[in-house]
Amino acid sequence: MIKTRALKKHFQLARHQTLHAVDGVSLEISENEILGLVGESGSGKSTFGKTLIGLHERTGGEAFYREEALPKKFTAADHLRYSKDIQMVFQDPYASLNPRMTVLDIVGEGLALRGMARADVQEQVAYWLSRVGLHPDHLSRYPHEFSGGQRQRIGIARAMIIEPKFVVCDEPISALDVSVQAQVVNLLEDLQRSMGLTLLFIAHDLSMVRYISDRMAVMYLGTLVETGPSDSVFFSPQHPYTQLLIESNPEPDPKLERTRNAQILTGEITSPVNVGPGCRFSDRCPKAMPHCSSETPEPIKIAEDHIVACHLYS
Amino acid sequence: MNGPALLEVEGLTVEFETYGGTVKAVRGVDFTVEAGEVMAIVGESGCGKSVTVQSLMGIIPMPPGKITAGSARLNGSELLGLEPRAANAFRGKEIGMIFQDPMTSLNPTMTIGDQIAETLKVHRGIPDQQAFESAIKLLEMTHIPEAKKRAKQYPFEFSGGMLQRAMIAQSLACSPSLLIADEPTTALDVTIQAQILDLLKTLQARDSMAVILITHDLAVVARTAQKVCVMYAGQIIEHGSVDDIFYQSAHPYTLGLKSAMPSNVGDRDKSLNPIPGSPPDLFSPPLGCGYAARCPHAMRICHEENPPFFQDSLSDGHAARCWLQAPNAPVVPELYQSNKIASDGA
Repeated sequence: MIKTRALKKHFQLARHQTLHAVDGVSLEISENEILGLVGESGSGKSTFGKTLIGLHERTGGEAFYREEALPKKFTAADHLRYSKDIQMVFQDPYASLNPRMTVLDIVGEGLALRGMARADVQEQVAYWLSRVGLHPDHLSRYPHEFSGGQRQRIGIARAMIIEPKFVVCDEPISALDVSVQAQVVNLLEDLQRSMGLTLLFIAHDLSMVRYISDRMAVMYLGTLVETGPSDSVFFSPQHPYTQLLIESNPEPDPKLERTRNAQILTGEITSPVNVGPGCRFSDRCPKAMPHCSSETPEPIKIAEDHIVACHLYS
Repeated sequence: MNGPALLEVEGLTVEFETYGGTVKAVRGVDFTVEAGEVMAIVGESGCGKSVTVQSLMGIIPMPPGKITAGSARLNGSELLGLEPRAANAFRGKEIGMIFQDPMTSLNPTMTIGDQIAETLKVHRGIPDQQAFESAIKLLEMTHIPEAKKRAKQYPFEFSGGMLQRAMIAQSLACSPSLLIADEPTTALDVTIQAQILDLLKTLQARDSMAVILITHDLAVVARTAQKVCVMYAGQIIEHGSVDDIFYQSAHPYTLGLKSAMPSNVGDRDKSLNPIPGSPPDLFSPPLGCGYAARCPHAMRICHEENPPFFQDSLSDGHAARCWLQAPNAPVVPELYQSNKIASDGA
């Protein structure tokens, strides 16, 4: 349904300084699938999501929606056209809702832009508020009157009211409390099933991503290091980075935590400015070989639907 | 328990005056921390966990804040209601503190080295040059590479993980007997979180320092703590060893928190069980148990009277503030119910 080929997004910082936020990501998302995209801050996962749906202008590569090539730079008309099918739920429920608009205006904006009569918009918004678990009488309230979890529900209602086919959820639960996270994840799962949605679920919480997604993709410094079915990636990670990432993810189980001898990834993510050739992880990789820092590893299929970009497997 | 504990908190009650009324943020909290142990306080936003430790440190803005009752003794001496000068003497020296957001907790206009040196100058009266050299040693201790060069840099030149290391270095400058870590890794990535938790554990064991770890993340608790207090609506609702809390949860809220998290053992199809509803309004806390409105097992008494702690008859130090632990309570299969002795306080 969604396909990208060597998608790139670079930001020009100064004349000789280019930030390689997303550097050649090729990914496919099938119909009705939930793909979890994980990575640390600065790995380019959010930029990938935004570039894919035209919120950033693409620097290179191609992106397809249902075999149709998406434009490199979206015009206002493109946005209106594609937003019917493609929507986004943002991370910060405090910053992504206009504080001066009522819930009716926020959630109904998409329908109003498409010329729906105000009375119909109101009816639809009321329906969607109750569908996401809010009170339909809250139409005339402002965002500040809601809690974080409720705001995230408003953000979800805004995206879903258009009845899209594909939704990018950019860290939709990171700002929420544990018990509320579960509420929002269950809501997303429920909507995905009942509406037949395809989701790109971007998050850094590995346990939650493993729980919600069918397939998992791991990003490091703008490149995809591993993709595969969630359980295979989580329980038998192949790329050294994925292995260390999952190793550092704590489990809510004290006995398990006491027995495991966690190997800790040392150092920090390298700067994505003016990156050279070779594997992006080679400078921190405990298994790095001499040619890792000079040759960029190609994606290798190691099992059905399990792909790793690492020289260890070539 | 042998002898007095390092920190004894009793009946701590904190309120905030606002235009909307009085918020009863902390409603009678008791706990003790022994020397050299790591105790976690877990709870969700607004449960009062940060306010609890901030009042120990004397960093609650007053007004609007007000400590209306309770006492907190560190090695027998009272911490609450101290004169500013007396509070400054122990703050940073006897108790160190690290915060969630290192970017806003360090002074952006001072170099990292100077900020750490300041602690030593103020509390120990160490001269400038020597203090700066100690600061470099402290940065090396927290594994900051090129500490000499880094000490002369400003906070904006540090990454989040490095700043948290610098803040740990600063808080440990005077070798405090107690370190309070308020959500130290919440703003960090998992790999960096693992590094920081590992560092904290190593330093804690080396100096046999006591640590109070404030967090909302049960996985972080499982990795680091020995003792746990679970807070809800301004009260501790269950406390015990980390194993008691995780494997013999006696309060429905503790159980609820656990089932709301995805488990990595077993089936992925097992659905998450969120806790319905939201915490009570602390402007007018409920008469009975704070959790009763969301509790699937709530009985009539739960809405009418706040339960005392019921002590676990099999595990010392494990107790829950829940009527289901009363001797004549009905049996709830998923809940651990061996606690049959009523007791007040921790």
